[in-house]
Parts: sequence; C-alpha cells; structure tokens
Amino acid sequence: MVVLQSSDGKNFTVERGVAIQSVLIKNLLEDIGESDEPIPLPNVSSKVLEKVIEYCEYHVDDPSPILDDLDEIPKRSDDITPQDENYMKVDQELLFEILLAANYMDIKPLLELGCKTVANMIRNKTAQEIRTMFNIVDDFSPEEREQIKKENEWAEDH
Amino acid sequence: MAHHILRFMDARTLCRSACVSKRWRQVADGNRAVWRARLADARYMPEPTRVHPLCLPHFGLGPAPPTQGLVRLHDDDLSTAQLAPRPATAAAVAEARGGLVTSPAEGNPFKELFARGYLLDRKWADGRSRQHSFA
Repeated sequence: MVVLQSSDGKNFTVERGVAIQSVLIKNLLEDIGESDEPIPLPNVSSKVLEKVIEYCEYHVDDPSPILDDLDEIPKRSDDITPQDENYMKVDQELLFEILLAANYMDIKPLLELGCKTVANMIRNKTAQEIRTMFNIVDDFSPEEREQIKKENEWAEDH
Repeated sequence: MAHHILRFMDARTLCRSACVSKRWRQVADGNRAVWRARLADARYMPEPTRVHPLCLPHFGLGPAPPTQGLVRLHDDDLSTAQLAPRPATAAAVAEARGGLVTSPAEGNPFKELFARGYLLDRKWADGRSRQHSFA
C-alpha cells in the first residue's frame, strides 16, 4: 500500500497499482523504494486528490497507455466512455483542478480525458457563448473584431 | 494546458475560439501543429513530392523561386513581380470565396491552407463549378 498526502494534510492509503498510474509517484517509488512514509502532494487538495484516486481505482486494470508522444495530434474527442463521461460531470472549477493535478501527477489518460471534456464543452459554441461559459472579457477593438470575424467566417455554414 | 486542449478541436471550433479574445486568438491561431494535423486529416495537404518545385510556394511549402529566368509574356508592362507566384494569404482566401480582400493575415500558413482547401471542397460540393468544353 502507498500513502498519499494532500496539500491540506489528509492521508489517502491506496494500492500500489492505483498509485503508480501517476508517473510522478511511480518514479518516486522507484527512487525511494517502498516506505510507509506518506508521499506529500503539495499541489493537490484532498477534494481533488480524492477525485483523482477515484479515477485511478476505476482504471487500475487498464493496460498501460501506449507511450505516444503527447505532441501527436489526435482526431477526435467523442470517444469518451459513458463511465468516464459521468466521472467528469463536475463543476468547472473542480474540472480544471483535476486537469492541473493530472498534469502535475503525470497521469496521461486522465489529462487526455479532461482535455477532451473541455474541448467538447467548447465545440459548437459561438465565441460569445464561450466567453460567457469561461467568464472571458472580449478585449478586441471594433476594427479588430470585424477583421477577425472576416478571417474566420469561412468555417461557418453559409 | 491550452495546447493540450486544442489538440482535440476541429477547424470550426478553432476558428470560433480565435474570435473569443486576444489571448485566445494568440493561442488558437498560433498553434501550427494542430492546424497542420487538421489539414492532414482533411487531406487538403498537397504531397510535396507530387508538386512541381516551382509550385511549392503556392502551397506555402517553399521559398519563392527566382523569377528572373522566366520568359516574359509581354514586353510592355508586365513586371516580373506579377509573374511571381501568389503566396497563400487570407487575401487569397477572401478572393477565392468572391468576397472583398481582407487585411494581410498574420501567418499561420496551415490555417490558411486549410481554409483554401475547405472552400474549394465546398465549391465542388455545392456544384459551383462549370464544365468548360473546347469542342
């Protein structure tokens, strides 16, 4: 068993197979060997860590991901399983915290899942809808807005 | 992180994202890799090996060839500049769709190429092509 400690000092005891889906922890365990000491994760709160562990427990039997280059560009984001989709039904703040944690803990499948989820949120939205969704201020001048509209309108249906 | 998310976006979503704010535009238009990938998915990408070297600049794939050696069509007012190949620009795209020429695009050549291929495809699909016959 491996003990993980969140930023707010809460300990989570998980199976080794669950913990080592995080490449960060996998490398750490290889370096320090097995130990009962909790592994501190200063960037991850207990709320987020609990959610991340839930993912790792569910996917513990998955084959390890093919080590592809993250820079390889995939084609689609509509291949999320219903279980994973359900898992990702959280508020926006938690979603982004999970993304950051997956990035920090180096859990590629979870990072991919989070990015796909965000991409799906943005798909089929207008620029104004995207601004509203993420609280973004439109900082274009009227001239810039006109130009950018022209530059991009080819992609819209006529 | 934004880069990771862009990887899952299609062309239209990328275009709409570019219209959101200055920062979003920078990120969405500045990412050559993702536009290049979308271009390859859509097969608008010409294969460099099948393109005559002199035509490569038309596809944004090479430097403009020297024009001095080319045969002048007319002796009077055709300057060599007019013989030079036209680079793929937003202006060309706007022209292709019969609209007004917009301002010069700041360069993501892959996005521009995608737009050209997309519009060309649409024209074929809409039957906006005419058959010409020499008979």
